[in-house]
Amino acid sequence: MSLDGRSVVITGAAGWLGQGVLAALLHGLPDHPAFAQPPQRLEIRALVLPDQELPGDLGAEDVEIVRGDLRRPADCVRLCEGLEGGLLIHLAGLIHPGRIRELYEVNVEGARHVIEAAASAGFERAVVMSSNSPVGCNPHPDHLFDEESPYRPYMHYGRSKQQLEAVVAEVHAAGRIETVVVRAPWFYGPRQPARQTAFFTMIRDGKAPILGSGENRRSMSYIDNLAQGILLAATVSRAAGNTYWIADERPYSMNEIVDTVEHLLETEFGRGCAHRRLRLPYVTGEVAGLADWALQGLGFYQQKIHVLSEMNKTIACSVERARRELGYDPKVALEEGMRRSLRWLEDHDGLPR
Amino acid sequence: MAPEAASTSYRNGGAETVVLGSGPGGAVTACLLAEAGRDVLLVEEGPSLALGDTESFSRDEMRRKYRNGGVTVALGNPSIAYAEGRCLGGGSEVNSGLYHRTPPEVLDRWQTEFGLRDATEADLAPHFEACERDLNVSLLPAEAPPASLRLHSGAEHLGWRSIEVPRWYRYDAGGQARRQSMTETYLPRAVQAGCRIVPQTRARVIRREAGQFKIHCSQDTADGGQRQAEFVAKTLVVACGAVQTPALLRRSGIRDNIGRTLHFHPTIKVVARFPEVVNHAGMGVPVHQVKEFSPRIGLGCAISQPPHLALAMLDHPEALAEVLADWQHCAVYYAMTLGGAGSVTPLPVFADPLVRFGLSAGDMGDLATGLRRLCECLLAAGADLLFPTVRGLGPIACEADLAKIPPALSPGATSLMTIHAFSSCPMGEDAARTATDSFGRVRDVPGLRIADASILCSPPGVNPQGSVMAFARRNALALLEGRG
Amino acid sequence: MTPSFSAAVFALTYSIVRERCAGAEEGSTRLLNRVATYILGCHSRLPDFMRVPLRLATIGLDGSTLLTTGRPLHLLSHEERWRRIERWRASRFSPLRNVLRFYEGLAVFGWYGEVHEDGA
Repeated sequence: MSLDGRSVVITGAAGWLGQGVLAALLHGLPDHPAFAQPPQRLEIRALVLPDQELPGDLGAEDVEIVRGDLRRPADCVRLCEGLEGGLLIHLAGLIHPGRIRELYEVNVEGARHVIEAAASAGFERAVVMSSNSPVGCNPHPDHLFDEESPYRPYMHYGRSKQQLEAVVAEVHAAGRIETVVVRAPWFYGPRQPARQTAFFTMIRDGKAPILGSGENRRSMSYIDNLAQGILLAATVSRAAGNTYWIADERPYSMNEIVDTVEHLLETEFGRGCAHRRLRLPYVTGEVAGLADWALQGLGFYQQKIHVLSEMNKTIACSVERARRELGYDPKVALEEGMRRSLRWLEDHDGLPR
Repeated sequence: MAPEAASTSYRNGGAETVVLGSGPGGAVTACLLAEAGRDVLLVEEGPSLALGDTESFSRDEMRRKYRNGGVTVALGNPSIAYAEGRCLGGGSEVNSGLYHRTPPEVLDRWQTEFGLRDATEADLAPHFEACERDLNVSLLPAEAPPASLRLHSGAEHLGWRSIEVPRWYRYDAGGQARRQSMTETYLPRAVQAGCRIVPQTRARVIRREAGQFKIHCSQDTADGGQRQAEFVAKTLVVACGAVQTPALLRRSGIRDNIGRTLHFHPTIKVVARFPEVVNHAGMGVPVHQVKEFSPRIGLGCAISQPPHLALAMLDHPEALAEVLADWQHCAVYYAMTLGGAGSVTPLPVFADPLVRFGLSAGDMGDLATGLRRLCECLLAAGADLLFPTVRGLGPIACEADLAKIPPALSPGATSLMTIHAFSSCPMGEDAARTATDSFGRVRDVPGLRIADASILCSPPGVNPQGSVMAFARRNALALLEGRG
Repeated sequence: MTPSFSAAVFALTYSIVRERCAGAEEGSTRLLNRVATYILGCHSRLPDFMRVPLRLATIGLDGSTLLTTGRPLHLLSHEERWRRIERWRASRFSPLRNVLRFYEGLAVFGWYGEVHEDGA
């Protein structure tokens, strides 16, 4: 199945990942032969929140912008109408909410609205973005999740994504639209939001938190690898009804991640680093986890505590199924991906001196 | 009471005759009674599955058709892993379908030692013949699997007696084989004759009240839960197998000579590697057995698919990957003995009974002899490497290595298994050592009978299902005739 | 941080299969996870009087490394886990050997079952 001449609707288009996928559709993905050239005669419609803008290089004239909110079914109907046979790429989601209930309003109910609207408009397929959180943390450090791993959702975000996957499965089973779930862990790459920049600053200043030995592993997904996975999920016939983990070839240990960024900052970007880590006992992650759980139980969300609680966990997946069934071939690994991230920041005056 | 009247009065809450357990003993009994017009209710603990619903010897089959998923153990030194069917048709649904009559010398011994009467070779012959007809017991129409032929050739080489064991299989004109079992034969016949089958229902305890039996059961419900059920019967036939029958009776307060004389065929295995190919995916059931040392020691070939090979290599972990890489050249063989004795004890609180088994130094000696004979035979068959299921023993590569096998195997280092369990409620006229009379009637409990491997007086030295069915038939006919 | 039965079973499965069986190095996550799930299923079907003791013994083994390493077995690296598994297998205390044998037997049986069924 080719993307040429297709109608594509993207939600969350102004977000980090949305921009990455838009860039892949408009400019091609140099790392993968099937998508090296951008598809021809593509019709793209993007859902953007009223207060969001697309950056200039993602060609306003090539993309039809629909302003609206997933939480309003009428906006979703407007987004999809008239595009029979279309393709929905549903990327919008809330990770760090103000209040917990927003997670469910956006990630579950919002998703239901847009997928229902796409099905009613006669769309052929919906690719839906999920996360590692529905399956929680790996039981041991060298374990990898696969697509059959049971649900063990991590906090409310994980539960909202689990419910999202249930919605998707239900719509697919009803035969109204083909669906593919793409699960991606922590992603990185150009166009990153400020919270990622803060992470680089912490590394430079010697304040990157390492909990315990730092040998716990994290799967990460370079943004173009993830875009490749999403486009494959959109175009490979046998993907219909399936779930795929999309990430870099292998997971990295926390130490490897921090060391790699530090090395690049120093050797390629001329930023002197403090060469220290904020070493915290392993149990800090557990304490933060308890605090996060207690806060979430009260309906609150504190981003720093949530992120800290995950710092000592192994969250790693296998991309074997995507390789086997989709032909997924992640070309960019940690060092090159971080290099491109840092270069983008430098080019956009975002890399602190 | 006329059968019709009986069925009306018992319809939902029981029957004139309730049979517990649908393995070979229970199925034959229920079938014959139903065909004679009796009102029969057959209660089975396991699920009702067809023979073809699971792939033979697969993990899926173990999960769905075996008790405890196939992981059951008789505790002792060494402990013995054993397996039981737990599904409609019982063990007949999951075994190899190899068939033996009870050896005449075994029947003679049962007569002299247990006072078993009316059970000579001649007495039993018509019952064996009838079962063999019903199950189509027959020899292979084509060549036996290569691993099986290897064992046969080793025995021939040594001048030992080796036979092809017949199986309960049907063959169509094209030679296509269809395994037989209770769900293929006696159970459909029983249903045809009006027998009602209640699967997924476990008898917890039986009580005798006012000349009737009340059977308290727990029944699986569709939503995965359990509910209580109670059945009433005038005649109760217990055929739950050699472990569950004594467990049920003892839980119900019936204890005389019950559950204290459990016997197995303790079996040791050897993985043999040959220079040539002897195994292939889906290789059928091996059929040859070496009878030279029967009944004390029997040699044979076991299921040898890669997972079974891997399991048999557990005592030689360093060679596991190598053997499995070469699995088409390897097969699993066994030496089966008669020794040891065990017990079945119901535990308070728990549903599963405690099974214990003890082997004497002499029994460990028999196992060592069996192992040595098996290794000799396999070396004579051309095997170049042998791995016994004994920690620290082997590999054995030549005659000289046989000296490594000690006169008695060490209990701490030996892994044993069995798929044959019996004798936990022996029959006979010697009241001091038997639980039932010569026809399976439990002493001092009128109307209660046992019809499974529990009543076989001692280890028969061969697959017991032929014996179980023949005695079940004999005893069911005796019941119908008002004898026994 | 706290000993966990299912995490320990996963960790034991990964280690045993990696050390014992061929073909477990690359591209086998799904099969490894299936084997561990299979073992958890086998445990849940065990005779009831064995189920709880085995569970407790497994949690005990998982927690036995807390004093020396500060972490339960399942949070150690494969190499560290395997060193302990080897020691326990060779123990003179037979119940300990039996626990390890239970997991080892099911792991190799499950692994070759998966590989074989997958290849068939």
